[in-house]
Amino acid sequence: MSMFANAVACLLCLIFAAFLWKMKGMHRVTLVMLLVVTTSVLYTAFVGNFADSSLENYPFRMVALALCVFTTGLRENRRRYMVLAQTFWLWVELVGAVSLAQIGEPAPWFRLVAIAGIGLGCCFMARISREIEFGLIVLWMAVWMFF
Amino acid sequence: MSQAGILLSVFLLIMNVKIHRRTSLLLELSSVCCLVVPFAYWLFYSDSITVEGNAFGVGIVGFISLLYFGTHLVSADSAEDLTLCKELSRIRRPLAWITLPTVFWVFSTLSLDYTHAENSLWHGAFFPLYANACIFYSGIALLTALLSFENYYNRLMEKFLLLCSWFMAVFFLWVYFLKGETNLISFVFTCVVPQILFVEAVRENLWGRLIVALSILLGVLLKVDFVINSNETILVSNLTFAHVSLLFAGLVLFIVFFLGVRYLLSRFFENDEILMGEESDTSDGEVQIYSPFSAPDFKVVRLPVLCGILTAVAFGYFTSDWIVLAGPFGAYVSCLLVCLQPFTHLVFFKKRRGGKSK
Repeated sequence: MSMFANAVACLLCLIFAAFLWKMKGMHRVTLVMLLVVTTSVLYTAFVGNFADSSLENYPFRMVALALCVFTTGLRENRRRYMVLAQTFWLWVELVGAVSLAQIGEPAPWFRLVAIAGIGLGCCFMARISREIEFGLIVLWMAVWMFF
Repeated sequence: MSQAGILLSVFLLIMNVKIHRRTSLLLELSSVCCLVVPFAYWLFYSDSITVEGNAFGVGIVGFISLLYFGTHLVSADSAEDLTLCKELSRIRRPLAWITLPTVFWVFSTLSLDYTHAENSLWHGAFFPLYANACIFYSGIALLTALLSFENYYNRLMEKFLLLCSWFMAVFFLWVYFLKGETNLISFVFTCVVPQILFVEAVRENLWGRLIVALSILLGVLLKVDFVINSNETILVSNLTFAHVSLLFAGLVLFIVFFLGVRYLLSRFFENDEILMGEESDTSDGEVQIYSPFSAPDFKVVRLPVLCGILTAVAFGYFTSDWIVLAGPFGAYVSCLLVCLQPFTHLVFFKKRRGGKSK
């Protein structure tokens, strides 16, 4: 996927994060989540090239990034959900990387190490200030764009 | 399927979803009973079945499930030593934190190995996610079916089932984009039929719920057929007497074992305390915020997980198997050490009390 398309995907994730869990009621929350997943799937389908097997998990990586960004706005249990969202992202990437390595394609090991490092760092944070929240979002975007 | 129950139970506990103890015990018991079926088949056909790394991984998940289920049972038993109950209930959540990634990892490596060695059509970064999503979904369907047999009704789980069906529809769409084909019959059984839960008369009816749950399980079975044979009708069209007998024997074995254990342990499922649910009614709802390294769960889990990681590294170093078994082996050691903690605490507690009384 081109750098521009990747950047648009990142922007979409930031927009998704602003709408997640903002409504009341299980059905409405799920509908928004469904809209997020469907948009990610359709975006990847129209922009990506299916001959590239590393794109198979791209929509789910988008959802994982949106979840990570969303957790920075939580009031309760923020550290726990932040670590869980990053673990989900790590799992999606790790499984994809192992699968790519099995067919002899280059796997994004640096991205994996970066996500694991940030996730581990979040475990050790006592208080997450506004500045740290912003720093985390910038770090995740950097991992998304450059690794 | 075997890992669906335990996966759902630990997931709900970690996400702080309040469910009745009956529901979580049924999930854990179903997982243990499901694992008995392949184990029994392996005993019967041990000459023609070779056990590989992934089977050991599933075995480790089975052992962890048994530990988790046993811990839950003893901690729920108010007739037993109250101190032991308290100590065991302290280790449930730490066990769940270890079990959840282990189950995800074992199933991911299982599906990766399958696509790598058996079916290259599905090889790619998507298949393990797809397989795990199916497991999770079938776990909820299985729970709805089991609760129907108990004549119980969990509104939250039914809502969850309905909502998950929408996400499964998106998975079908993604498979269509990736592979250029999809399995329509399975789609109807898995994603369309559950929408009848919107009708109140179906939702409130025992048979209606049961039909939806069974339809999902059948849909998942057809999907497995599609994955293995690239055609969803081969399983049905090529059924022989031997296949039907094996399926039937597996089903009967599961039901007999499940009902046997269920009625043997009915006092754990059916006393007044249990029906109140996981959370105490006297709780004032206040949430305590812990700084890193001071949460009770972390205190329980830190040393066992450290030992588990060291064991996994040693295992990987000596066997060169870093992907399939190193992680589950580390989780196995961690779970054993976590389960030993209450007993060591009790021994020290008794010694200290004995010393004071002297």
